[in-house]
Amino acid sequence: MTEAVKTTDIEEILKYTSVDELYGWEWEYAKEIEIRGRITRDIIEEISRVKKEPDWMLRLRLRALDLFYRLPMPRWLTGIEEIDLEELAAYVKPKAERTEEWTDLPEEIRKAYEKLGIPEIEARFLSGLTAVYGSETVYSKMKEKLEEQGVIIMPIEDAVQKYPDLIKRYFARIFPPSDHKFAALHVALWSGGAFVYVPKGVKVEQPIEAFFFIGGSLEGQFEHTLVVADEGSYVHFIEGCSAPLLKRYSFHDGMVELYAARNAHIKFTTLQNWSRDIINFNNKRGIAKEGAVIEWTEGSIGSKITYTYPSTILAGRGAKTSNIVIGIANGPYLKDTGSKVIHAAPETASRIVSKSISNNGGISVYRGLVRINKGAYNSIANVECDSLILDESSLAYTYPHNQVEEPTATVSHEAKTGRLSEEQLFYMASRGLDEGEAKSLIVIGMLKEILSDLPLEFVSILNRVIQLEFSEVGGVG
Amino acid sequence: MASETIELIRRMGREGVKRLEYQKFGDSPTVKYYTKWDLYSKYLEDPGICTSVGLIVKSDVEKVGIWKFSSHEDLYPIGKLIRPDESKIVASHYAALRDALVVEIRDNTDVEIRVGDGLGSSSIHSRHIILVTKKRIKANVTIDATNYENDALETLFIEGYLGKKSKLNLLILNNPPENTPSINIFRFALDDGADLKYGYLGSGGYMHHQNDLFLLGERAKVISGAAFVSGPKQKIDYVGSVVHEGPRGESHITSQGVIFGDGYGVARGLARVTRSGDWSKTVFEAGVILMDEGGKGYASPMLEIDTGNVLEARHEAREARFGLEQLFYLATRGFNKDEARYLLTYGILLNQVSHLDGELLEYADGFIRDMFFK
Repeated sequence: MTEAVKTTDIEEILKYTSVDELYGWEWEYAKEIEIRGRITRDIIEEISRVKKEPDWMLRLRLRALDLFYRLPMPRWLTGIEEIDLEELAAYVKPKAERTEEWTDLPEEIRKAYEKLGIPEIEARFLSGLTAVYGSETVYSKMKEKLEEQGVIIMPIEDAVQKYPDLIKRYFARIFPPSDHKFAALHVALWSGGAFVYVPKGVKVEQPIEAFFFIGGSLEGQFEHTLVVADEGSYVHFIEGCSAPLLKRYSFHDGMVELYAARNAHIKFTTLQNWSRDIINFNNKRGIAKEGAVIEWTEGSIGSKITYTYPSTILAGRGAKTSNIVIGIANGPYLKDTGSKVIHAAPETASRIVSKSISNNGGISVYRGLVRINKGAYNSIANVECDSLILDESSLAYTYPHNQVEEPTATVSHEAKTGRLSEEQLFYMASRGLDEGEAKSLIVIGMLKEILSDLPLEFVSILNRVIQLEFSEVGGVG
Repeated sequence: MASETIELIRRMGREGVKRLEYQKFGDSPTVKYYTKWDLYSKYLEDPGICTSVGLIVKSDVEKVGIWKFSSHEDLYPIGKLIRPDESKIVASHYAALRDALVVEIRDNTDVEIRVGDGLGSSSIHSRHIILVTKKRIKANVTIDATNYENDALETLFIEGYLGKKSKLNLLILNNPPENTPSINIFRFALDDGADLKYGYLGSGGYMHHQNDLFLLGERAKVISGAAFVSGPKQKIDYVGSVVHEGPRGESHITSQGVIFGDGYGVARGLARVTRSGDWSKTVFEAGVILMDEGGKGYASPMLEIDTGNVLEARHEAREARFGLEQLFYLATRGFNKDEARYLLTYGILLNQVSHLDGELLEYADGFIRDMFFK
């Protein structure tokens, strides 16, 4: 990091006194290209042309576009009527050259990341960082030591050009566009994101982060992350998202694909803190081969509406997955989250933990699927769902599906929905905490499973965000 | 001459069969339907009309009023709890319905209702009961749908009303013949302080079973236990649901399936506490055990909580294997593998209805023994 970049950002963040101050209102930024209108073949071809893509990628996009128009709208989605795809920008390229130095970025873009303490966190704790603004990667850097070990961290567009064989093998194959309408839309319009490859036996000690920022109203962001961990390797990937308060809404339809080869271990942590003007769809799936481990940890704090269900296919003997999803629906907003695990090999194990908090008319939904295929001998799955409702006007729904086709398997599922009791509030009041402080304390307590793995600075910021979220009802600090 | 109401509801049924879908929504983003609806479609093309109500009631005439709906159609409604425009399959039931039977329990007593034959050549055999328990009455009711044999789609619908502070022990036994498709929809509304103890045991055929309990009054209470056995080639989808509309209600719902051979079984349902159901308590458990390779067992207990003022709301699902430990324990006591499997199944089934009063429990015990040990 150069000296020109401020290093006291985290302390400043901790001084914010409202959610509005934290996010800030949307500000103008210069755009080089903006593509709007009905999503047609012409638009797809134009995006592909701007990115100078090979033909095979354009053909993939066009196949996905065809699927998008042919697949039905999922009937269980609610609250998406507002999305008018013709009104949204399908592609926004900010006027900024991609760089490895924060100081090279235009001030209006750099301040978005500085405001969130990203440069400081990168310098202290990360192996590499990719920052996406709108539809394009504006900053990407990896520590030299990793390059020597053969680790690849780069914008996914670059990987399409430099490593076409790797990209062809995994891209949109772990999560194919035929899965549902919005997966198809994503593959047709994808832009921005990170590609990570960890060679055999390499353990990446510090996490890698991708940070996604939506800078304006009526923008679509379709970023794509692909992480391939070769045999016996280890990597921890952190995904962060943010946006300022917008005059209108914007739409995020991202995708994450993970491939853990034999005995590899991937940790994937998401800290989703979109402002309340973002409609957030996320398509996340991993494949774990023999003895591999995939851990998803999802902290879903912001956004207007979120639909996200991190999924793992346990495709090799002894593969394991842990999916921890924590959603805060601080109303009147909707968090529709959950998890999906397919046990497709013997002696596989999965654990799903879902924790949700509904407050101020918020709606929390858990939607989950555990499937044990025939032949997945002696597999074990465990699902726990805890929903906490903090007031009378909030809602919590739980929709689990457990499907077992193997008699030697064991699946257990437990869920409970509870309220913040008078006794808890009284106890906290007797220690000088008001209702808002008490609620934020309880939420932070529930988040401890995702917080335990993160650098302390992340934790401080998250704690502050949560305090500010609940300060509207009680006042904090 | 049939009543105007029956004519009207039958007409609605026929229109609905053409117009409506089997389900309004898929079961989940990844599961379209758990019931194999295509198994039913051939019966819906030209259902015809049944020639009788197809039900036999044994009761004390002093304490129980029994009549065909069409003879006093202004006393209780038909199609109010189970609406004919609800789905294609519900509409098909009404399309073929000759008449409903009203059973009004006026004093403490026992009632036995048997599903009988003699419904003619229609492709759907519709039986419909309106079961009313008057206020402060305590009754035991057995509905036995185990001794009939037909080549038709068998439907049994019950619209039940429990009056204030009434207590109903209800046992339903269901065992349609091999390869017979059946649809059962039982829906009960409970008034203030009403108390329902419900037990269901089912096996056989292709079956969609739906049991919906609406706790409308204050402090209404339900304990519901259901178990089904899905044998080779059989497909059973059991949906047990409870909705708390009234405050301070209590419900404990359990559904358990046992799958033999390549059978298919689903134990699912919804526990819902609405905004008006403040300070309610609901516990919901669903589980399936696969006894052999080739079986498919699914469980999906859902929870919808619309109020922060909920006393307790939780659910559990268990899909467990037939345990080697249990087998070993029974083997040491001289049981071979088949005997051990049946003994365990017997225990599971009986446990699901163990909350019922003595006579009903004995009846259930007899049914289980007949089913497995005859």
